[in-house]
Amino acid sequence: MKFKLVMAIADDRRTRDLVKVAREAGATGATIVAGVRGEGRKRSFGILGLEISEARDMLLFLVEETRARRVLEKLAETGELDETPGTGVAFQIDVEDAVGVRHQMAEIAAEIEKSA
Amino acid sequence: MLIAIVDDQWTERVMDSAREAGAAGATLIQEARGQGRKGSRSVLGLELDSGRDVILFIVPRDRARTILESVARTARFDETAGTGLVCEVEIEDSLGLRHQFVDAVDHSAAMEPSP
Repeated sequence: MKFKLVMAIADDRRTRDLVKVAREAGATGATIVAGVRGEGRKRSFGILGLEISEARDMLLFLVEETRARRVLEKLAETGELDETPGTGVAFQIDVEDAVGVRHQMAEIAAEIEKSA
Repeated sequence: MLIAIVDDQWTERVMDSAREAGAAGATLIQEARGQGRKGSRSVLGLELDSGRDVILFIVPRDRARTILESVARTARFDETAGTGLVCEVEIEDSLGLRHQFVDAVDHSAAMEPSP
């Protein structure tokens, strides 16, 4: 089974919703790195030298290959990533090999069999 | 995507140089911990890993190498051991970047040979 790593970097207020829709779209888990700082095209300048860049969470999903695009689209739709500037980004990276996903693989295989 | 792992004192300068070289934005993960070839020293059980930041840059492919080199030069990765590293990972697909690369699109349109 091939996996993709779907990463989303978004406003921390949306984290809960994004994880929820990613799960619905076929992600079998999520890793959240909280308190990441982000800067977009416009540099953020703060008051008295304190930067007020947005509070971000970084979400990592190890997703079975055939579901990756769907997860990505759901994330973009829910997070309004393409509609509104500064909301965040989502992208996917190829994963060459993975261990520790045996239980997820069993779950995914069962779901695919059920839907077939 | 470029992933840079640098001493936290260099973060600001690395982000500036990447921006000058054409990166449209950056994501900063603070307080990662790093160890190089020599492991880390410790005093009374307290480890003295230097504070590291992980910086992610999502950049157009044609600018990646320039930014990579600019970051490496700024942070002196190749001159001094233990300063950090930067690497490039291929992004297969992405959404939410429309606003970031407006100028990149304009730029490539301007590069088209005129009929």
